[in-house]
Amino acid sequence: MASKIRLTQVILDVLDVLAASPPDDPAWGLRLCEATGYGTGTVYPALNRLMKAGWIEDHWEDPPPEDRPKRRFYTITSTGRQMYDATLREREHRRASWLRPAPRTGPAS
Amino acid sequence: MKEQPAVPIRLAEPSWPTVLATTLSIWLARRLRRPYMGQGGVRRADTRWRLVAFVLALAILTLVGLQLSGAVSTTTPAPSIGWPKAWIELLCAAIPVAGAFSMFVLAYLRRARGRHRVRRAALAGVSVRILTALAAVLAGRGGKVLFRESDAHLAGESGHDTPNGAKLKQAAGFVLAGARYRGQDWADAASRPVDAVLRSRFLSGLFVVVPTIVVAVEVLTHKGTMTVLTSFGSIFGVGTALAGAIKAGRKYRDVEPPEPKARQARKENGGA
Repeated sequence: MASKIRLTQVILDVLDVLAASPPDDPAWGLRLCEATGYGTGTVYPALNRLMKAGWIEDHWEDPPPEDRPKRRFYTITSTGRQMYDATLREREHRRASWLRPAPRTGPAS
Repeated sequence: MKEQPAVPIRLAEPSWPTVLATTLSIWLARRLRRPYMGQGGVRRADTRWRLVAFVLALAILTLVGLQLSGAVSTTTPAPSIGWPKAWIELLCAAIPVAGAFSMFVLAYLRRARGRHRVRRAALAGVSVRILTALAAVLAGRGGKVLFRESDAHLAGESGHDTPNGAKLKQAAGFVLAGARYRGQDWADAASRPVDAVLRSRFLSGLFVVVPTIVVAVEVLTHKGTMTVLTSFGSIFGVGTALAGAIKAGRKYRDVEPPEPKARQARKENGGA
């Protein structure tokens, strides 16, 4: 079941990369670290939190390669995408309301 | 005239002390006076002499310290020299430990100097392994998965990256990740009862009312009725603060309690 999580900048950056990743070439840990610019100590806990909330899901590389360790891929779930889109809309709306000039209430002189 | 056969001259055998002294001198020469190890090599003799001098100095320092502290004195305690005795004893204990550690580091550095790259890479590999294992232990339940994932991560895009300083830094990041995994688990475990209180109107009410009543009863018992009346504002403040905490907690955790039954019934009746 998907639950709400506190959206930090790290979470949003990770979600940006995951949402932009094509299904045939999903993102994995190292690529996420390189794309977001955060270290392993930041990206993996964020992924763990997103996994627990049900926003993303994981799968191990199949079939496993013989010459290197198998990778863990992450994909965004449909629920996660909905939540992510809703959050982005909400943020945009909030930002627009802050930037909008306050309407004049007094009589024009 | 028949020549006499030449009698081989037999030298006298050296005495035992001479044999012992020669053996010792050869052994010392071997141990302490090694020649240069080729071009660019390390002259071991220097390092060895330095080590010997270092250890001797440590031993002398320790003995002097022990003597000053009176620890080795069998008769009367040593006269006070103004230093706290405990500090001297602590110093005496620390000197051999520091000496042993320094000798270990020196010995390691001396060995590592000869075969730079291979040793350094091997050391980095071992350190990376130790760090990722530590991360797995710290992470708790998700540790096994994190360990396998760190393997793939540290192997790099090519899958065959060699361990180096950057990999070591990434491995240290995994330790932090492991600690944060554990922190998340603890926070989740702690938030469960908090969420239960925030979701339930009854429990939230208890959280506000019970401490307020306890404070009021305490004031009543120890200070009297009049004080309860005069410090009504303070008691009311306790209740208000707790109610505020519940409200803030609900907002922070994004938790909504169910509507009261009376309001639900009113809604079902169409607001009549």
